[in-house]
Amino acid sequence: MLSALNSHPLEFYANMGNLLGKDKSKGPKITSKDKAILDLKIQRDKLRQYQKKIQVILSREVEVAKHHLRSGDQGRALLALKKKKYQEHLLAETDQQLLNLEQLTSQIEFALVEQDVVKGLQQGNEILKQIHQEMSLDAVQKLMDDTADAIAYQAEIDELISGKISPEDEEEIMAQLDALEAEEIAARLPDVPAAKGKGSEATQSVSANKLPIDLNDLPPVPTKELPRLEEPDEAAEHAKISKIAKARAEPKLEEPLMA
Amino acid sequence: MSRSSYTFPSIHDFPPFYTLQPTAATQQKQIQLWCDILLAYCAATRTFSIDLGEIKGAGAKPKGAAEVFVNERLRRSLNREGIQTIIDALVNQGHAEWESSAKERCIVLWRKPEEWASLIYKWAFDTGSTNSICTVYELIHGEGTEGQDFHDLDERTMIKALEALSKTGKAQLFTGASHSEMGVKFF
Repeated sequence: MLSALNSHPLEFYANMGNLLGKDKSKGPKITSKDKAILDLKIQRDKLRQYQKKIQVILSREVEVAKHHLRSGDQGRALLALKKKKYQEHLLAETDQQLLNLEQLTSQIEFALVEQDVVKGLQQGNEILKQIHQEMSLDAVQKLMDDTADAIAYQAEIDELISGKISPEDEEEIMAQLDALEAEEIAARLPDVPAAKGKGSEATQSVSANKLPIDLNDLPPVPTKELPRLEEPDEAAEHAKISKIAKARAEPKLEEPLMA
Repeated sequence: MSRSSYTFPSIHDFPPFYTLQPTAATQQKQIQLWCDILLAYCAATRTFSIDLGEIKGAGAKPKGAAEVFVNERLRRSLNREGIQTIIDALVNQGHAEWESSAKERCIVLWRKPEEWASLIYKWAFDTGSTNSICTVYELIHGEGTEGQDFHDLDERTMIKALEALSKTGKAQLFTGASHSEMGVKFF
């Protein structure tokens, strides 16, 4: 449209006229190819009509032959049959022509479809090219460089921020973390013996070893009570304070299992 | 074309039905009844045109759709003026068209061209004929349209239907480069 505006005004109006004229007649939808196909199909229709005519003649000649045979005129009957034979020959020929026509029509139609496909591919290719033009390699390279720069910049910022936390601060933080952990463990301790009563013995003894209170209690336990079954052993290990603890331990056992 | 499949309604055996009624309201009703009968008859017998010249007078059974206006049993028939009035009414409704100003013959459109058009387009769409070319002959007489309602359709009606289709942009009627026969391209 822009190019049309730039061209000579008279030419522009002429083009406008063309466009309007085309719209009115709806002409552009029918091409000369369409007309050619139509011609072929009309020809085919005419052949079909011709075949119908021949078929009518055929059956009529048979009737004529029968009629003459009945009236004893063999010569005429023979003539009618000869005519019939000739018409049959014509019919076969038109069949062949019909086949040719139909082949040609379908070939044209298929070629048109192919043309459309190629056109479609071409368009797609052009658009792809256009898109590629819009994003040239240099631009992409630059974009990637910029991105890399930005990432590097971000890394620098990160470094700066994390740099503000000095090693001493970090140590302090770690210390605080340890303290918190210890506190957490301490808070759990009273519960541990009772809670892990029914757990595996190995883990229990390991955790028990870490605890100073238990260590004090442990030494007397193992040797004396060995012959006993598992349950009394455990009770002895974990709560040696009194024998009531045994009684307490049993109901408490259920709690951790439930949790 | 089977002509036996239509049975006339009882009004068809009512003698006054064959005289145009003088009262305007009654006449209007009468004309509408005639219109309905004529359209139903034509649809049942797949008749596409009526030749008024076939009506020779009461008692003589005419050929074709003109037999609607004759009742042999009653020995009655609607006169020419009455028939013209009825067909004029049909023309006004878009269900008929006079072939000439002499009002001798008319095309009966028991389906309006638009209705035929949508049937034809549906066929074209269903058979994948869109974007390809068919001859009018092929549409009317071809093997591909056998069993379709528009098979054996009157050619003028077919052309009208295709014209209606091209108005909506779904088809384009055109003639070949070297033949005058019409073809159509569906879109």
